Amino acid sequence: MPEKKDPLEQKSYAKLFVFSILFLVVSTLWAVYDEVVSRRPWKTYQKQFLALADKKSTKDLEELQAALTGDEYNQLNQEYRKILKAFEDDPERQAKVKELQDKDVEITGLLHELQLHRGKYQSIVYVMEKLPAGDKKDRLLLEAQVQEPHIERINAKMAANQVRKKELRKELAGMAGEKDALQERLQVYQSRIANVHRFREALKKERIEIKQVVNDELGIVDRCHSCHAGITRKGFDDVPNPLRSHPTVITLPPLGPGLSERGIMNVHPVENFGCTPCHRGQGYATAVAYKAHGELEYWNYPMLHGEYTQAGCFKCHDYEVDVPGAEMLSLGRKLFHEVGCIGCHAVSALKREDATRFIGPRLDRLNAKVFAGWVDGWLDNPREFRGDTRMPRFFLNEEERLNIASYLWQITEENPSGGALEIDEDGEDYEDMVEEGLASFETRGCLGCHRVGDRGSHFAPDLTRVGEKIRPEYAADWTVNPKKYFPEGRMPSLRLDKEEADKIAVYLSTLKQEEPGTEAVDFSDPQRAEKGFKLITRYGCFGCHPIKGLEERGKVGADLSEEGFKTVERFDFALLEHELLHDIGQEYVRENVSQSRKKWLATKLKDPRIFDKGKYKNPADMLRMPDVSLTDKELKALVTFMLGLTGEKVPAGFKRHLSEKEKAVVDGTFLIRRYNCIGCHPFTLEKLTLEDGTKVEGMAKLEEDETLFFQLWHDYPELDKKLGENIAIELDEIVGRVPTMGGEIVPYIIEWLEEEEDMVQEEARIFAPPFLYGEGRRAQASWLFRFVQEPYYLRPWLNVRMPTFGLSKEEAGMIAKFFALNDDQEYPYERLVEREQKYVDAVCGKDPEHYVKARALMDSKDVNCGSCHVRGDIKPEGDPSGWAPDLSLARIRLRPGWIREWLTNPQRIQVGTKMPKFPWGEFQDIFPGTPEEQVEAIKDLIMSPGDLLTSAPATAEVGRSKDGGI
Amino acid sequence: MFTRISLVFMAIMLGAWTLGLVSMMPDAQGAYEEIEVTAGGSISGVVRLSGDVPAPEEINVDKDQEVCAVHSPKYYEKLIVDKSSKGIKNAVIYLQKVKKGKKWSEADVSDENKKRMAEKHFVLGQKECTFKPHVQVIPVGSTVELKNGDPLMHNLHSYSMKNSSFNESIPGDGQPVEKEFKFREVIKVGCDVHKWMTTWIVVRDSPYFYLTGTDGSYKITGIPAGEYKLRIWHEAFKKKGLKAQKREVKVEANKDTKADFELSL
Repeated sequence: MPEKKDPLEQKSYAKLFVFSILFLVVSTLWAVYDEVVSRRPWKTYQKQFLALADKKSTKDLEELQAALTGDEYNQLNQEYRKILKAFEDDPERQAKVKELQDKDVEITGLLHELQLHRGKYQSIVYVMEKLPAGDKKDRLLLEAQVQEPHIERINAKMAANQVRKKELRKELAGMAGEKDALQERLQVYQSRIANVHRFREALKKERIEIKQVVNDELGIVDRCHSCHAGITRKGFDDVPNPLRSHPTVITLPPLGPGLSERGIMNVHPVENFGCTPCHRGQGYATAVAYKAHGELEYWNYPMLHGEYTQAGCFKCHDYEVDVPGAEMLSLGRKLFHEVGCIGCHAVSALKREDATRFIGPRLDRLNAKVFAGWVDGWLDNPREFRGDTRMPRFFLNEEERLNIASYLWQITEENPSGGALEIDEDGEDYEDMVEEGLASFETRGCLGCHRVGDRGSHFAPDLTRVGEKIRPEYAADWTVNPKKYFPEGRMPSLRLDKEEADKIAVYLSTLKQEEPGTEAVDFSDPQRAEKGFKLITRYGCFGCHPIKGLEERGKVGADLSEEGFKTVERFDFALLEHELLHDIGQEYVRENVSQSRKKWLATKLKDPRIFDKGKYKNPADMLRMPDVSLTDKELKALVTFMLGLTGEKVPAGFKRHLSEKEKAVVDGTFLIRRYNCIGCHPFTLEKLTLEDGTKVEGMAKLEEDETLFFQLWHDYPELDKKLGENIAIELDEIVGRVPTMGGEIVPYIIEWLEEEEDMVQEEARIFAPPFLYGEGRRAQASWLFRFVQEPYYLRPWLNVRMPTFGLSKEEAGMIAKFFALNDDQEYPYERLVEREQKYVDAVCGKDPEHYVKARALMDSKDVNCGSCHVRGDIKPEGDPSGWAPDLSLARIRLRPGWIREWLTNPQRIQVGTKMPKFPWGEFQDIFPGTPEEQVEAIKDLIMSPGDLLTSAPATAEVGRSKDGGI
Repeated sequence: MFTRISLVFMAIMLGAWTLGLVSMMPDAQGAYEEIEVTAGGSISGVVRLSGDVPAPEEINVDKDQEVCAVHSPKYYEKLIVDKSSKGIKNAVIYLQKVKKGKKWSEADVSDENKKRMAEKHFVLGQKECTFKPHVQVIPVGSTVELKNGDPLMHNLHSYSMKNSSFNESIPGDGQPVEKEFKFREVIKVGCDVHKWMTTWIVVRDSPYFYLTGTDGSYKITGIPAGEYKLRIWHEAFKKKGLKAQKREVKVEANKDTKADFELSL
C-alpha cells in the first residue's frame, strides 16, 4: 500500500539547504578573505619591507662594528689617547683647572662673607629707620655706613673673580680644541652604530597597519606610505618600488659638519606635506595601486609621472625663475615667456613675465625700417627667412598678408632718422667702410646677442640675412640710439657716434644671400588696411608687438591659469578623439585623465590647427593659434609647465618662503637674463664633480686628446693644488659638469683678436667683458646702482662696450641688490669709514705721514701704480690699450676690504688678471712696515676723501684736506 | 656577489686611482723613455721665407727710456730673416709623439744647453727690457728661473692653457722666481709693464727638435730608423699655415734625410 504522503512536505529541500549554507559560508569566507587580505596589499608590502630593513640593518651593524677594529679607527683612537694624555698632563692646564677650582672656593667664601655683612647691614638699617631722630639713630646710621665699604669691597672682589673664571674657562676650552675635534670624530663611529640600533628598535615597534598623514590645512588624508614603506627612510635606493627610498632630487648642504647631505624630503617632511600635494593621486585609497594613484575614471587629479612630476612644484614655487630639481618645469616657464605664449594667454601667476610680454619689435615704423619686398615672405613663413626667429607662422593667405602689411604700412610715421645714408658700392671708401663696420661689429660686443653665420648668440635676431630686410639708413640711425624707436625694447645703446654707426650699417647691408626685393609693392589701399586691422585684432599681433593704439588690447587666447586641472571633457578633441586616444592605448578620455590631458596639450602645441581637421566652420571660428615650432624637449617642458597651472590656493605656510637674499637672486637672475647681461659677462665658475666625488670650481682652459685642462679658482689641499694652478682631468673621469653661466661672447672676441691682432688665446681673454664672479664683494652697491643706469668708460683697454640699457631705477636697484646680497654684502646702506675725514684725522693722529708715505710707495719705481692706472686727469704713458682703470674712481666704486685683498694678491681674486702681485714687505726705505701695513696705507689713500690721491705729492699737510665731503 | 665591504673597498681604490691620475697626469704626458740610440739617422734642411723679406719693425719704447732705450733703435724679434739666404731664425722643427729615443742631454743644442736639458733647469732673463732668450725649448717637467737683470720692475705674465699660468712682478733687485712646466705646450710670456716684451717657451716631450739660428738651417740627429711626423712652429706664422707644412718623414739608419720648409706670411 502506498505510503500516504505528507501534504506539507512532499519534497526534500535538504540538498538545496546544504548547498545554500555552503554557498553562504564560502562567500562569507571569501568576503572576509577579500577584505582582510586581497584588498590590503599594504600588509604584504610592510612585511616585505620589515624583512628587508632587518636584513640591511644587521649587515650595516656588522660592518660598523668591524670598522671599530679597523686600522683607521685604531689610529684615530691612538692619536686621541696620546693627545688626551698630553692634555691631561699639561701642567699649564692643570694649573688653570686648579685656579678655577680655587676661584670657586674663594667665591663661595666671599658669598658667605657678603651675606653676613649684608644681613648685619640690613638689620641695622631696619632698626635705624624705625627710630625717631636722635643720638641712637645717628649712631646706628654710622654703624650701617661702616658696613657699606665692606660690602662694596666684597662685591668688587667677586666680580673680578667672575671675570677671571670666564677667562679661564675660555682658555681651557681653547686648549681642549684639538682633543675635542678628535673626540668628535671618534664619536661619529659610535653614533653611527647607535643610529642603527635606534633604527632596529624602531623596527621592532613597527606595526602592520594603515599609516596616514592628515593635514586639514592642505585638506589631505594621505596613506601612500602604507604601501611605500621605505619612502621616508634613507638607504633603500636600490630596492624596487614600492619599498624604495624617495629619491634625493636636490642636494642641499648638510646642516652641520659630519652630517649627511639633505634631499628634497628634508625640506618637504612627509609629516607636514603628505604626498598628494606634490604628486597628486587619490591619497586615501589603499585597495589597489591604480586607485591610490588616482588613475581611474572619476578622479580628476591623477598622479604625475617621470619629469611631468615637476608640474607639482609650481603652485608653491611660482616666484622662482629656476626651481632646483625641476629643470623641465623651469624651462617650460621660461619658454612660455620667451616663445610668446604669454602674449595671447593669461596666466595669473606670471606677473613678472606678463609685464615684459612684448618680445617682438614695435610695428609703428615698418615703412621706414624694411624693404617692402621683404614683408610678404616674412608674413608667410618667418622661419624660412630666419631659422631662429620667435615669430610664429600664422598660415596667412596672400590676401591676408597684403591686408596686414597695408595696415602697418599706412600707420607708419615719417622716418625720424631724417638724413639718408648714401651707399655707393663703387665708391672709393666703400671697402674700408665695410671692413671697419665689421671690425666695430666684432669688437663692440654685437655678437653677445646677435649672430652672423655660425658666430654669435641666438638671443637677439640672427643678422645673417639682415641686408635683405632692413634699410641701411634705418639701421644706422637705430644703432646710434635704438631707444628712440623702441623705448621699451631691449636693444641697448652702445653710445656709438654717427660715423661708426654708419659703418656698421654699411657692413650689415652686405649681409645678404640675395638682393633685397625692390619691386614696387602697393600697400596704399585704405580698404585693405581696414581689413588688415581686423586681422591684426583677430590674431592678436599686439600680444607680442607694441602697435600704436593697440597697446591696451586684451589677450586673444584662452586664460590658462587653471589649465592643469581643467576637466578633461573641456578639451576639444574634435574629430580626432579616437585616433589620438588610440595612440595612448585608451578607448575613452576618462580612462586615464592625466594621459588624455597630456596628449591633447602636446598635440595642440605640435600642430595648433589640427583640431580643425574635417570640421565645417565659419572662417571667423577657425582656430588661430600660430605654429611656434618647438623641439620635443621644449614641447615636453611646456606641457609640464601647463600641467602645473592649477590655480590652487596654497596656505601661506606651505608656499616657498624666500629669504631676502634668495628673492634678490631670483629677481636679479630674471633681469640679467632679460637684458642678456650673460651674453657678455661670465657670472659663475664652472663646477666639476669627479668620479671619486671630488668637487672643484674654476675655469675650463682647453680640451685635448680626451683631457681637460682645468684652472682651479680655490685651494684644494686634498689634491695638493692651489688656486690658479691647472689640473689635467680625463674627460671620462668627470661625472658632473655645470658650465659657467654667461660669457657667450668671450670665445668670439678671443677668436677675432687671435686672427686680427696676432694674440694668443689667454692674452686675448682680458679683452673680453669682465668676469662678474664676486662682483658684489668688489663693487659698492650704490655705484652699481648708478653705473648700470648710466655706464661710462671704465676699462681703457676694452673695445667691447658696456651698453646703456635704459634701465628703470627699480631694475637698477634689483641688479645692485642681486650683486650685493649674492655675495653677502650690506645693502642698501653701508658706511665706508675710509672715505670720512674723521678716519683720515684719526689715522694722521697716529702717524701724520701715513698718506704721504702711501703716496710715495704708490709712486716708487717698483710699485708705480701710475705706470698703468689712470688717476683722474693724470694719464699713464703709452697706448690706452695698456692702461688700467681710473684709481680716482675707486673710492666711489670699490669696497675697501676688496681693495685690500686685491692688493695683497690679485690672482686670488681674478686668476689671469694683468694686475701684478707686488712683493709687499720690501720697499722698507720708502714705507717702513709690515706687508699688511703697506697694503692698508695704499687702500686708505685710494679711499681717502678729497684729492689726496690725485694731487701732487706734498707735505704732511696733505692729511688735512679742505674737502671733507664724501 | 659583492659584499658591502668589498664594494666600499673598491670605491676607495677607485678614488685613490682617480686621485692618482690627477696627480700622475703630468708624468703620464711626459712619459719619454731615454735609450741608447746606435746607428741613428738624421733629418736636416733649411727654413726659408718665400716672398719679400719685410723690414724689421722698430719698437716704440714709450716707457722707462733710461733703462729700456739704452741701445736704440730696438727692433721686434718676431721675425728675423737672413737677407741673403732668406733663412728664418727662431723656428722650432720637431718630431711629434716620439715615445723613446736619445737622451735629453744629446739634444741638438749648444753644450751649455745640453747640460740644462739634463738638469731640466733653465733661465729666462730680462735685460734692457728685452727677454733673453727670445725663444727657448725646454723638456716637460723643467723649471725656469725668471731673473730680472734690469734696475726696474718687470711683470712676467704667462699665457698658457695647459700649464698653470702665472703673473709675477719681479722687482729690479728682487729674488728670481722659479716656475715649473708640466705639460707640452707653446707658451707666450709677456711683461704687462713693457708691452713690447715677449718671449716664447716651447715645452717639448722629446729631445728631437731644433731651434734654428740666423741662417735658418737645422739638423735633428740620433733618430732611430722609422717613420716620423715632422712639424714646424714659428711665432710669426699663422697656425693654419704651419699645419699645412707638416709632413711624414722616413729615417734610415746612419743616413740623413732632407726636408726644407718654405714659409710665407
